[in-house]
Amino acid sequence: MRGRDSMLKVRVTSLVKSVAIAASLAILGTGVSATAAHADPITINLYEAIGYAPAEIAAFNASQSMYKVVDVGGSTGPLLAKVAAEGSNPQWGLFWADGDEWAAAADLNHQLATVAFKPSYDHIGKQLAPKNNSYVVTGATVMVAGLYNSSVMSNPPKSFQGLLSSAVKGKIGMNDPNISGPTYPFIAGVMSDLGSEDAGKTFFQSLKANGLVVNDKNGPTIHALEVGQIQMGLVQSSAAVAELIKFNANPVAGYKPAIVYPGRPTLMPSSLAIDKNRPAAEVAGAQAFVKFVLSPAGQAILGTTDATQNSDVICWPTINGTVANKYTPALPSAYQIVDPYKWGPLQSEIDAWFTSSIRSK
Amino acid sequence: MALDTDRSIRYQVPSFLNTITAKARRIRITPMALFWTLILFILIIPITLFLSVAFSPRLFDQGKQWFTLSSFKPVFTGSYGLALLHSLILGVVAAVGASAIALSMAWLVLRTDTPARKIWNGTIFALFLAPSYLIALGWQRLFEQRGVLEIMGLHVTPIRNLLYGPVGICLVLMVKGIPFAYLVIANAMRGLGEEFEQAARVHGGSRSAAFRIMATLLLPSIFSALAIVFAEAISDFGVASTLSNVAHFSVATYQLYQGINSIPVQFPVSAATSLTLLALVILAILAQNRALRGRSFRTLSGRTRPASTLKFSILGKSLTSGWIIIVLVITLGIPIFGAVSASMLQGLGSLLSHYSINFSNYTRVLGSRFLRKPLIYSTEMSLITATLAVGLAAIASKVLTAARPSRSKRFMDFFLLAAVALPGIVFAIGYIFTYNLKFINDLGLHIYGTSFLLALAYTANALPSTSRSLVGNMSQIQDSMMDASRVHGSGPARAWLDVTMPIIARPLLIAWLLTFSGTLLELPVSELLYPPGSPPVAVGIELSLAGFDFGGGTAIEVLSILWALTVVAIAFFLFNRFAPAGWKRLGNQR
Repeated sequence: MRGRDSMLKVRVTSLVKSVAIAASLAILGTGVSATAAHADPITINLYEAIGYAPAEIAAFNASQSMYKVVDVGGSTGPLLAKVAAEGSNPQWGLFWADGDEWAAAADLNHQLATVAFKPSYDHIGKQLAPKNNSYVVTGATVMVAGLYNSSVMSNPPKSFQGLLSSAVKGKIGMNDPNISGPTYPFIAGVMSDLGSEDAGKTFFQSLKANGLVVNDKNGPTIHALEVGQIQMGLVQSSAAVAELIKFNANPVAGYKPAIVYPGRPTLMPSSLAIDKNRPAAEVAGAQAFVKFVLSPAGQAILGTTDATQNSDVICWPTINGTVANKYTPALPSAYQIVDPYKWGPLQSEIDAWFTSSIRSK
Repeated sequence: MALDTDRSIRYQVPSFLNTITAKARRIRITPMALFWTLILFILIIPITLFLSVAFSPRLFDQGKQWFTLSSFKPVFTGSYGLALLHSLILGVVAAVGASAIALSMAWLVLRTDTPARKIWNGTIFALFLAPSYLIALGWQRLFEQRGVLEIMGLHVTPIRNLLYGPVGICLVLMVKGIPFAYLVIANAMRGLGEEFEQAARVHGGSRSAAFRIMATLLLPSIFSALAIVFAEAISDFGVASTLSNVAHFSVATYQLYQGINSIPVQFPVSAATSLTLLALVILAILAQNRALRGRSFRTLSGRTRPASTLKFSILGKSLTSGWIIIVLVITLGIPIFGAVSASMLQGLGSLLSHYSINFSNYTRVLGSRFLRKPLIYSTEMSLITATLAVGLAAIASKVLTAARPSRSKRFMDFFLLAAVALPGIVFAIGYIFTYNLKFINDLGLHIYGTSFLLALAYTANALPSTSRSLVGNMSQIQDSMMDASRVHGSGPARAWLDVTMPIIARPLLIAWLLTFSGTLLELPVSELLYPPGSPPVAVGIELSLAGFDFGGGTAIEVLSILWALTVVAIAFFLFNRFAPAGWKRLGNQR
């Protein structure tokens, strides 16, 4: 028994020593890079899910030598998960993605540094920007555009109620808000437009009863439209316009995509926010980057980027004097703005309801 | 004897050297302690910390309570129980189906002269590399409305209805599981001599009785295959979400992703969901232990004779080759079709009436920022990961196949399977929780956001499947061979090199290639842990697809797969050309 105990003791001691050596080696290894980092420009991590962000980063880094913005690109969901996992030791200096619910949630959580200047917003920007300037609005898309196949659907529904008509039974598709970030603002917009959350829920249940097809996100919903599983997909406007560009360049018999805006779609901003918990020098650099993105040089990237390869530039500008990309269509005549500070905190509950009541059979 | 030697040395050396020797001995680190330290840091701590959030959200700033069970509320209410049952059934069916097909393939390829076996050997890695998304896409392209089969005038609605539901999900998960199961079972079959089958035949047993005996002796590897395919299947989300659109067939991982995609993110709910997936894994381990308890499968000894090849008649050759080709068409042909249709057709989904096939997407992406640098970076990381993971897996599989049941064996078994059952994104979040802790940073340890941490996470992610792929071989090695080598004067390292290495050289190479290939296109861990400014190729593909450049994204994916296959071919060439003859002998047919 004593032999087993001493054996165990030896094993534990050996394990403890291994841990200590492993930790020392790791400290030694990372310490070198930490020392070397002081000579470099101040680096700021930009977590982004915006297709033209790398072009903005390259232009900003080339325009000055004091700061270096580093790209951490990805999809909005995993990036937000990364931010949440980092918790009280955040590594992001800037966050840039579609929607503003995440920005409002971060603002309510006192995570954001107030933007140090007042952007020169145009009429769209003024409607979408937060009153306290806790983040900036860099562009806007519409949730949702009704992308439909005009070869088979001659009279597309132009209102929310039209989506419930028997003529389009089984022909409408939309995205799942649990997977597709931009879809929640659409659902919140419908609820807001119909007067209450309950009225909105009743509408979506009727839509389901009318044969609604739910796909993950824009890509699969548009594919369902292409192959004829549905005749109208409720998708983000930039994705819908990208589809038009593609099929105008290579027309296909039997499939002619067109866009209609059913009801009052939600105007959804792309938001850029600064983390206030980073060192002051990094926050200053982040402020400089935000200023650059909203400057004429930064805004020019919207017009010069090839929209056929990067559909995120197909958005409506929010800054005075910015020329929209040549593929950006006219803004819908009627649209609505959803208050992210009101609807953001309801997202978890509404998404869970969507899963149990709409997505499931 | 060793003690005597030590004492005689001590009498001869000066006293200060004695002191140094004693101190050196005191700080000696055993290889096993080092191994368990690594396992602790790369596997046990990240998984445990993530799961702890289910009970204590405040631990990682995910809520206000230090202790609560409220995270389990969504798990035990609503339709989640049904989703969990669905996942269980899917996992069992996919595991049994994949293992049965893999067993038949391994036997045909390794023990018979069926002509198509050479095609299978050449394509198994392509099979392993095909992402489940491409497999699902290929099936969709064939059977969807106005898909290829309908354009050809076939009425496929009933099959489509089946495919877009549990049957389709099961089929794709099974297809995805076949290469895992095959590599595990085939490695073990290579080490199984034919004396047992011959004994059965000599005693009047039929050919099927001999096959049954062989299958029984392969039980450890078959159960390894079952466990890993089961764990992979229950943790899958991509396939289910792609194919269950019409049927809305719920699976357990959906709830997990729902928690992660919420605003604010609900990690406690995701952790609670993960615990239920782990409960399923525990069931799998219990079943495995129950089936193998009290039996020995150590068949590989110094007297193991190479298996002879079973000669088929013309009819037998035709039937067996036909079976191999059918399996290949289903498992590989369909995903290849998915990739080709997505990367070469101009206009996604333009299968309606007019479409053109060309290489413009390929020529365009050759200069893409998402291809060259990310692919080089991913290759470097995969080389490091494969080497590290195979080293650890060799030890892990030895622990797993130890003759005596022990706590460390059970511990290892659980954590390795847990790592498979938890989707990659959850695993990566555990890494952020662990290595981004403020007090760790205050100690001067800044490894979050570095290639070092990414390599560790890749290694931990690959370790379960790599270890399982070696378990079959390790369980066959009789300890007497090592003992014989030691008795003849070899040290432990020398004995391992002379005895074990020749037996497991080929399985090690295959495990290395399996890890290399799997890491090259790994997405969830890459997406959350890649160092700022250095995206791996999987992130490049994702970013390309996110910009609706579907053709370009898929072209990068296909080029990356071709690159991985090139590395596999080079590795096999080098092995066959330069490895010692003894290393290549095991598994050769007479």
